Amino acid sequence: MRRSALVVLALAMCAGCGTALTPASLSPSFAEVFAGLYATQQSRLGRTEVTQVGLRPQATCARTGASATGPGEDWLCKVAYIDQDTAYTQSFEVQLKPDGCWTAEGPPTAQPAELVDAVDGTRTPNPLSEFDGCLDTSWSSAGTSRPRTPLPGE
Amino acid sequence: MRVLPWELRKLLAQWRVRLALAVCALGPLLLAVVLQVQTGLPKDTLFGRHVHESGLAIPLLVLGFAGTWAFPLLTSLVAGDIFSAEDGHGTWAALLTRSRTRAEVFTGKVVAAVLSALVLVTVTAVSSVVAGVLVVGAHPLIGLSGTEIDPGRATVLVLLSWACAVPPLVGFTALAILLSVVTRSSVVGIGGPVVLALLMQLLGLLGGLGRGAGILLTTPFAAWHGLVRDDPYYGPIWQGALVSLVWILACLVPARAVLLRRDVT
Repeated sequence: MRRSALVVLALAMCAGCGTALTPASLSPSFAEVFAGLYATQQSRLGRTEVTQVGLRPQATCARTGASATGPGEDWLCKVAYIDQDTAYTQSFEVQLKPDGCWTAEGPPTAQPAELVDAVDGTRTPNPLSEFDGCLDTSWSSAGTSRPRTPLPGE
Repeated sequence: MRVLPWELRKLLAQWRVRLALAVCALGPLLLAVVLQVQTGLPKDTLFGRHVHESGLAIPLLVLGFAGTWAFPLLTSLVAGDIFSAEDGHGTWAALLTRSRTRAEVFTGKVVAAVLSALVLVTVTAVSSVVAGVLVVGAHPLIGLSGTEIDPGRATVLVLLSWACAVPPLVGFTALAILLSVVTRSSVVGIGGPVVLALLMQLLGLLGGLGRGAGILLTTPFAAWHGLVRDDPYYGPIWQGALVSLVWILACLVPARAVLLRRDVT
């Protein structure tokens, strides 16, 4: 009895808490993971000078369907980054799950499943063809991105 | 505390507990071998896509998978039966005529159930790390912030991630104890927590609760997601520990009251 009363009470208290799955929380998470994997991908191709921070990634994530927040398979993330003084953008389809973790899928032409080394032809998995990340959905996270150290140039 | 050794001896004599220990010790190794020989990847679970690249992805895959139903089952195998077995065998009267008070018996059984759960989880954690390292190798692991984590640090993070599962695990131990004491049925004691865990999982998956999903006892099993990255966040871990503590108290306090007042003659 006591337990169910507690559950009801907590549910009532949290009815107005809303969702932590917002564009404001997904965008920085996506930018961070994309840039980290991009650096990993480039180092697998021999370019070890590319770093997560040096790419200055900026992502804009939004849902294409009716609702603007919450879990769904209709999220789209556009990420802009700078590599060797040239600006690039890429788009990824993102599935955001209720537990705060997301899976991104890149366009197969730009991000094939395997990387082929230009020199010796060896194949390695492309970390950017499909990848996962997670958002902080705890009560203290406030539905926006948690404070992080700003990247240089921000 | 003299109840504890006896309870542990009774537990170790059960084939069910021995079987659970064997599955925890050997299951991860079997899983690692199966994953290694097949070309497909279990991409639906976090770190499933990395199991061919780093052996340290294996324990995280097991952890992500186990939180859904295996943890509640593991602990309720012991905790869901530890009180109701005395009902089943009709041994309460004999047990309580000994020179131990009911409160001592309750405490001894609770400690035995929690210890068993901790042992089972520790065995699974260690064996899945060993299985990953032996079968795949201790290669750098791509963390949840997209960068590679070196094997030494990744091993520490993996073990810490498993430690994050302890509070909700003990929560399910307490839930199983409550069901075992109140219903006097081992079927309810063992099956009940598993069914409740699946229901909570389903409630969380529907997504309608939003942040309210934090009060479910299954949510803290995912708290480790904040750890395996360059700049960890700890909000889910503290929240999960708090929620688990509330569940533990809300289960153990009534369970103790029911047992102390029960007429066993």
